Amino acid sequence: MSKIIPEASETLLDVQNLSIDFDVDKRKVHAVQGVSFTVEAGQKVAIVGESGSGKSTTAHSLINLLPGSGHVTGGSIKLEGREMVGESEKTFVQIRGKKIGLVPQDPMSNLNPVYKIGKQIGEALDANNVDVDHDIVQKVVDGKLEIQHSDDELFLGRNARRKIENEVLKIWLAEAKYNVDEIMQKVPKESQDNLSLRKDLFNILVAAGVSEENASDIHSRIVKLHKSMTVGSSIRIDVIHTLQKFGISESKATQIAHEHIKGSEKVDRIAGLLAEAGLVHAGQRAKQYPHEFSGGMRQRALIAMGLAARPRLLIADEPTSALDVTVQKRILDRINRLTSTLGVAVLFITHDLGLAAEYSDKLIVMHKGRIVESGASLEVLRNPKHPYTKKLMNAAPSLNATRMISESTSQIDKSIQKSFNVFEFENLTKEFKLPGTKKNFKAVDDITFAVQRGKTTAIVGESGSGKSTVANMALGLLKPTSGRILFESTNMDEIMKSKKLSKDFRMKVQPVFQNPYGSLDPLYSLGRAIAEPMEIHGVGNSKSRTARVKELLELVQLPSSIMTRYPNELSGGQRQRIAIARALALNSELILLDEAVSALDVLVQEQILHLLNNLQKELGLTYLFITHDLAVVNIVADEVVVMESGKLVETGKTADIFKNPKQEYTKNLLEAIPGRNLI
Amino acid sequence: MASNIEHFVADYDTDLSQVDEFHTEKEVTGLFREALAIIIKNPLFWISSVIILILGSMALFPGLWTSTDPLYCPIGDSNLPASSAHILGTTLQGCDVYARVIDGAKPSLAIGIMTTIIGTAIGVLIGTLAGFFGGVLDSILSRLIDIFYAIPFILAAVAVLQLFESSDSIWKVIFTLSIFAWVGPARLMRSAVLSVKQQEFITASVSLGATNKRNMFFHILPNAISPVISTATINIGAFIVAESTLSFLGLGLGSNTVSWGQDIANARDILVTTPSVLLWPSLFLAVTTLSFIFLGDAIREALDPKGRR
Repeated sequence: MSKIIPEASETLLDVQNLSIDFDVDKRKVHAVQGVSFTVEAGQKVAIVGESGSGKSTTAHSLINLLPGSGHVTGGSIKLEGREMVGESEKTFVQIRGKKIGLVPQDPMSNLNPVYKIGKQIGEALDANNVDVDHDIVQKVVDGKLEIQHSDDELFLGRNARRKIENEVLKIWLAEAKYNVDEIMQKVPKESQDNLSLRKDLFNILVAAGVSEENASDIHSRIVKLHKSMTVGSSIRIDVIHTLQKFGISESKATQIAHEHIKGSEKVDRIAGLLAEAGLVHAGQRAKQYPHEFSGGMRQRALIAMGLAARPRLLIADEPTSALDVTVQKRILDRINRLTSTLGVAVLFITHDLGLAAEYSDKLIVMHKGRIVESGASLEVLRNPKHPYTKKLMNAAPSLNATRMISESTSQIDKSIQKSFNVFEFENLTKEFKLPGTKKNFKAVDDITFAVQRGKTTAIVGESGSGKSTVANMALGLLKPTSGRILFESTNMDEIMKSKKLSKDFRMKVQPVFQNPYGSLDPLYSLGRAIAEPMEIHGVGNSKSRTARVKELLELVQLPSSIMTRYPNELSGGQRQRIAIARALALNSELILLDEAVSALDVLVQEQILHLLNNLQKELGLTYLFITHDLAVVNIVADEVVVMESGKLVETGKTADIFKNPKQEYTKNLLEAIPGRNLI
Repeated sequence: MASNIEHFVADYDTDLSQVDEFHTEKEVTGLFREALAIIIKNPLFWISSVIILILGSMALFPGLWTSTDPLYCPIGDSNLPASSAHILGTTLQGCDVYARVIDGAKPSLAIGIMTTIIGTAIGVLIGTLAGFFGGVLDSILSRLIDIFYAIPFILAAVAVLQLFESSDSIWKVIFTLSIFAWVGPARLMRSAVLSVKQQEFITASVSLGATNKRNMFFHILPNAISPVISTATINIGAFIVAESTLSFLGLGLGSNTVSWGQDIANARDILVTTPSVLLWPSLFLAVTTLSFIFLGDAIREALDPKGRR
């Protein structure tokens, strides 16, 4: 399908010395300073950096979509040789969609909930005046780009596909030495026109006198042919090639294609775009509303939209940061394949070095608004030169294969006799009532595993796998439907019933949650927040509490002067450290980390993981680590529990699981770790 | 293609400070301080505060403003124009308009503020209970709120005030208004509690072992109350208007108490000949109400987290 052959090293985008400022409280913040890079036609370029590095700002300036007070203060942006800095909004309207497409970051908020998906993609077509009959083919004529139409680039329509399949069916019947007319007469009238689409094709053929062997062969071949042609996306020349692959002679194939393919309608084209983006049953999906789509499906719809007008450059702004890892891989693979076949250049914005390297030819590393290193992706990854790039590399969990080793040497006295397992989960099941129905939904289904003392046990799974439900039951916030949880050999039911036992349990088991912005009361000073568990359990007096808070702050490497401050003054990572300090206040034994590092930048994430690791060594802590990120699991966990839709898939030592995964699902999860095979 | 991409490395001068370091020299800014910083920059806050302070001094120390008895109404002075003795003229009954407007501040402010305090206290309590416990209690309390919303205010006020016809105290008005004043805050508080309840710091505090009582009063209530505070301030103005409406209809305070609503009602008869008699109490009423609305708005802007960053 590669039809657009980019001129050798034609520079599509040329950014020179770009500087962007934001006005914050009458001060100028230099978000981007003197950034220069180029994107060749068809090239895949990734910009990597932490939040605040200016990577998204740079990308948004290309289509004049800088938020708020942002404005370009200097430099030049040349698109196809044309200077874009200082151009009017009107020009950018022309550029957006048609020349530069955008796949935004958050699939949840970027679709209008009141319109059907198909209508929204149709809008992308209408807004850019896209011809839905023909594929867009751009050719360089006399140094100028021209859109050219040829009949061979007409799209396949829905009816055309049905008719072609019927014709092929007849050809195959004839090849199998049947009298086609005779058999067709025996086929019921109502199914003659859509014979190829019928699920009971086999039965119909047998009833019409075709032998079972032939009927089954033809049926399976027709199904394959059906899948090889996409309405609204395959063009005449593709169909001819496809038919030839299915054994139709070139002349016959050309004849059939020319007879039936007359261009598609808008609905077909919309379905075709969605199918290209990897949505199955695209025709039906187009009639649905965004709320009926999962996050991954919405992102596919946005990809379809971004590519609807066949832009020359696609900006993918962290397109998968809101999605599960396996979905992330499928989406990025799809973007990669699609842009390769269409010859579209990609500017990929991400914070994940591994991801960037895997999906780009060229890597640009940004730090505080400047480019610190750039070059061919593999070259940069294998031979990083700038200290910042090296730092990023070392911090990226996906690029590190072994468990973190604690720096601390002090060991806790283990002579005190305690149960070997902190938690034991036995045949744990949790059912929820589905609203509006009498059906029950099994969020957790018959799970058995144990959490060993002093070790880190990770529960891994995608969203909806039930891992958070297990966490909530372990915290005693939810009651299991059946099965039981033993905490230090005591049944949780008993613990929750007894005031003394539950108080004791609450002191020993502490959670740290995912969202660093939500887990601290904004009205409490940090000192008070950390002291709260002591206050609740009546430990010490205010003086000894303050002393303990200072001690805890030191443990999490924050200055003790921070006590009088409030959560809103802290960064995400700092808040997470406060949450850890709070969890440690009562000398707790187990800390449940519910996606505790998922929302953090890679360097901050590494810092927190190191901190947790050292604390574990020093204090003999047990961690129950809930996450979707296998890469992180690899470097912190001793034991892994893999969950999928409520069920336990696989459990074992981290090293074993990573070296030798037994289940298909685990293998898929492992493969989805970006950049794993690049080093 | 990859081979011809130049490997660029920037100079090493880039500042590679410690990861996620906390800068202790940063100014301390709690939510409260931030709110304060925002509100003192708001001119509306200052304008409305000054007006409310002036009105407050009229209510508490009317002697500072006038020594004329507002209830001394020699009929001979009827309908006098403005003069040095009566700077705003006199009413049809011969009372001094200036003295009456000054004296009218006291019942108006007292009723507005007291009603708001009582209504908001009840409303916050009911809303918090309904939102926090949910379930049957929420259903019952929510229906109760709905019922009170459905009662037409004036009609019910007429009925209730009939019971206290003989009384002359401002408390009967406060009581009547309070019957309705809790409904709005209760509803607002309930929804605020529901959204705060979802937040992770509440789950965190539950798993730290905090009791319901602690969660409700130490975490949820303080975080949920800011919209109620700003609406309550605006409500003070609304209740002052409500009191005037009742007095205008002859239902509110008795004739022995000076009230802007009553004066507006009395001024209707001489509207054509001496419109200024109507103007002054109306103007004071409007300015008072507006001041509270502006103040409430300023508070809302300062407390609303969405208004920031």
